[in-house]
Amino acid sequence: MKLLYKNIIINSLASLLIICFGGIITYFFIVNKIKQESYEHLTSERISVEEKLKKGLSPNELQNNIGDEIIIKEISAPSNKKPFFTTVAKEEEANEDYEEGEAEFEAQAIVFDYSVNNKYYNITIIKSYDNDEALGENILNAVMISAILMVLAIVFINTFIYRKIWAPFYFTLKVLKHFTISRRDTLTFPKAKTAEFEQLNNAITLMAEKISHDYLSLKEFTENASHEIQTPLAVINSKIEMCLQDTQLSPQQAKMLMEASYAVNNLVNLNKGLIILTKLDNNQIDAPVDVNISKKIYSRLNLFEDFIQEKDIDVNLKIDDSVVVKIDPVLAGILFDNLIKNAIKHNLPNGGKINIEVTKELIKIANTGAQPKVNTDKFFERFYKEGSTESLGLGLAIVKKICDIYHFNILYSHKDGLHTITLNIKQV
Amino acid sequence: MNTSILLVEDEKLLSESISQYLSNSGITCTQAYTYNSAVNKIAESEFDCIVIDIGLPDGSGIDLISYIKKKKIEAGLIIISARNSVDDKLEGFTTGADDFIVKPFHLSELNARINAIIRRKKFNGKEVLEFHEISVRLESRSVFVKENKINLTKKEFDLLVYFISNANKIITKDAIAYNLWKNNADLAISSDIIYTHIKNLRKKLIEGGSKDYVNAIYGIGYKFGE
Repeated sequence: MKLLYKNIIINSLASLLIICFGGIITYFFIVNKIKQESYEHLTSERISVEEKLKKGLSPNELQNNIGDEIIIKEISAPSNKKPFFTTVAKEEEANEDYEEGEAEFEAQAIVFDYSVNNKYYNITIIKSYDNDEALGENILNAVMISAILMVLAIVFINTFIYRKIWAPFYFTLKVLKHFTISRRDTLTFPKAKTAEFEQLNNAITLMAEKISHDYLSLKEFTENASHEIQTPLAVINSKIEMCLQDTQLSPQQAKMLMEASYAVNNLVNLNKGLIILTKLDNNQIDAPVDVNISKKIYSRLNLFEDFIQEKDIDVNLKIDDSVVVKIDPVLAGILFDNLIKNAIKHNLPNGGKINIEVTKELIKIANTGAQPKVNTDKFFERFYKEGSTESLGLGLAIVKKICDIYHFNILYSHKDGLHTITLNIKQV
Repeated sequence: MNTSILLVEDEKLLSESISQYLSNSGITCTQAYTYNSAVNKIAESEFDCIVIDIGLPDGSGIDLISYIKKKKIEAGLIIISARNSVDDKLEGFTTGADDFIVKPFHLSELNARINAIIRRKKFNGKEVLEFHEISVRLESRSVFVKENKINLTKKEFDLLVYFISNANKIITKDAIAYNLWKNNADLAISSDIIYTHIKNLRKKLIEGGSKDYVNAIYGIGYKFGE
């Protein structure tokens, strides 16, 4: 979820919660205050009623003399009850909004006993008008309006923050997305006004510089190491060859020397493969030129003629001679060498088939061969090999890497005893 | 004809093996481990061929080639390099190198290349390679046993040249595979193709009246010789 939406949702929820809570508290405060005021009012009414009774006003006269509703009952004996406040259910008057049965509300009242001239009265003064419910409604309305205004404000403020204040952050993000270390990009950011973003940019720039530096030294190390390995390998190879010249060698010794030689050879080929992969990883390639695919394939097939004859492989070509692809010609050579070599190596021991098809969209190289025993998804991974120790498992990794560089989609499939590698060569 | 070469290689162990192998083939080999000693040795004596490693402790092999060319010294020049880069090769050849071998290499391969260059220099293209009754005319790529012309395929011809260049030496299957198929040597090693070619060459030579010079050395490879 976008930061903006997250912010808006969290802020809105929090604000709504606070506003509701605030509304409830306000309601109770106000209700309480009104009650207190009612009590004060009723107390002062009581005093005035008492005074008026003392002055000799009859209860009937009192009814009209006071704003509030008053109920005076004569009682036979005096009571010691102290005045107390209570609520009385009261009919709503002239309020059209309410239907009849519901037109009742609780009104504040004071009940007290009073005696004057040996007459005892139980008096109830009911506050004439009390509008708690309307109050609640008003508060609810106020709360709702504030809530809506608040949410609108949050949306506006956040959108503004998102657009203006976070702009440098999104720019930084965009720059980072396009950063490719092997291209030796340098990161440049405009000065950010917000301190944190400026710090972020500085930290990223520093980190990128360090990573680039480490990457370069690692790359140099890998390159140098691969090349430095060649000389000791040459020494080992030459010593083995010298030993083999010895006519006094026992068959046992000769066998061991050949095994050593075989292992060194593997190491040499592995190293060669790694050097190519390192070069490809580092994009040390020449600018692409127009390469005619059919010519390239024919010339490469020529180099394999001996092997094709030896295994009696039937080669079927369906090649569009006009297909041209922009690629480094050396890499094109390596690509087809590896693919054709693979098709020969993993073919049937005798009388197999190789079908090569080239169209403007696709290059398909298919060969007969045994059912793959293992996970075919991993064919293009480095050092992946099918049990045999003869292959080093780098050939298809190199093919894949070259395809990646030129954005060719590569697919392996196996159907009816035919292994097919398909390159989608449509370049945009 | 006695051929002498100068070997400029700073890795002493490798230099030793090369010089030993070449001496056994009748080539006088002078060793130099640095650029400066190479310059001195060039001043002292004449060589038919100079084999130069690109990475020398006190200078570049490419510079040494420029120096040799400037001095107008008529020697074949072979670069041996740990780097198999197109750029290095191009630079080597434009400076005046005759051949470029990538480390690690088979001693028999280096020997064959040195022989080829020396022949080219000495015979000016009209080279004939002879081994007892077999003579190989390199420019026309034809082979004769005494007076009989033998028809060989391209690979059989290359194989014969390689054999004669390394006559009486034990050559491994790997070295043959590399000489004939270069980058696709691994494919050759894993198949019977080397055996097939050698069998055919041997048959054609014997049918042409030659003695059987091809000796299989069990488990190792072959030796061309008596």
